[in-house]
Amino acid sequence: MRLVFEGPLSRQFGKSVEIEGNSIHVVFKKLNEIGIVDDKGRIKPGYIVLVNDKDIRVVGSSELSRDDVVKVIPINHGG
Amino acid sequence: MERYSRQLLALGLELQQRISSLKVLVVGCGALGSTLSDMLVRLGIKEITVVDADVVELSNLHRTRMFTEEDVMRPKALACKDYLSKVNREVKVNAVVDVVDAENVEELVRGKDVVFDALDNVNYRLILNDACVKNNVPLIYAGVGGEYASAKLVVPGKTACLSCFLEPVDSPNACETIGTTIATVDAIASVQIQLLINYLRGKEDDEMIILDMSNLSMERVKMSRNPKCEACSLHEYRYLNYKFTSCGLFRYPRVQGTLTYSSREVEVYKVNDGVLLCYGEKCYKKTTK
Repeated sequence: MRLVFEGPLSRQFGKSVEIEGNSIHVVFKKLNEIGIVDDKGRIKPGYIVLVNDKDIRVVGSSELSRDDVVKVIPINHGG
Repeated sequence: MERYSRQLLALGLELQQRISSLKVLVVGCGALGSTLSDMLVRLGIKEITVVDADVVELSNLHRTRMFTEEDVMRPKALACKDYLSKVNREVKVNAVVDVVDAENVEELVRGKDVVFDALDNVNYRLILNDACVKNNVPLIYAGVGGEYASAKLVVPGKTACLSCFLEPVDSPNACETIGTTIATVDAIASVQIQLLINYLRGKEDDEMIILDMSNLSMERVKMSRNPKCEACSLHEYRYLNYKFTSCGLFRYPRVQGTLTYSSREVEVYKVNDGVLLCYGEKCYKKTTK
């Protein structure tokens, strides 16, 4: 699977990384490593994570494939 | 039409006529809202309503071209109206000095052709999103942080709405002061205006526009509706019954504290953990950090 970082995250982690495995669990493990999962196992406020354009919260436990793309988008609220 | 002659060459008569029939609500008249409303009035919409309960501060001036030093401590909505009326007297300009919360949001949204989200915190954004989805009014969101910004068109029932992917933040210390630059604000406000123009052309792409100014890059990230979204899928609109108390300005029931500033338009009172902005009997509390 490919994990793509948008905006300022790409300067921190590079534009994208490949992750081994085919489950949402593996994605969460990686997201946790980079600090965007809270202590209850949820995506921290201020980030959107899309799995093939769909919010990760509604993807459930379905299996993912090598071609799948996970995007991490920081969202700011200044105006 | 002389005023729009060069714009007509770019957009065409049909699109200009659509623009000139629009009634638009701009929620928030800070950096984004002032920039958006300036552009909307120059574009030639029919009627604009700007809403904000805050006053202009010296620390606002670096990121907006609308406000000047003379406007410091003036209600943003009124300073905005005065400016807009000078730009284009053909546009009807309404200023509302108020917050936009569950109490008044639906009344403000109803009857508008499009709503611009120029707010500065996620909780009020979710209230506005609920009202727009419920009343079937398109919403054009943008948020900024540093030299990074995002924008999205929400067409109720067709595209993902803000509630499809955003969660409220309602804990103490959750509100941070977000820095940004005038270049970032201007660029994402321009994107919002272009989203409106493209929407009028029939484009309703479900995507988030992501702008990274320091890298001079813009991306379009495809998005999809959340089938469990409480607003656009389940039609529950829970934020229309919610009172947030941690970020931004809030209605305050009475005049209280020590008077620190007074003008024809506003009185400011110091209270323990912030200030009260009072417009006659109507007061709003602004928490200081």
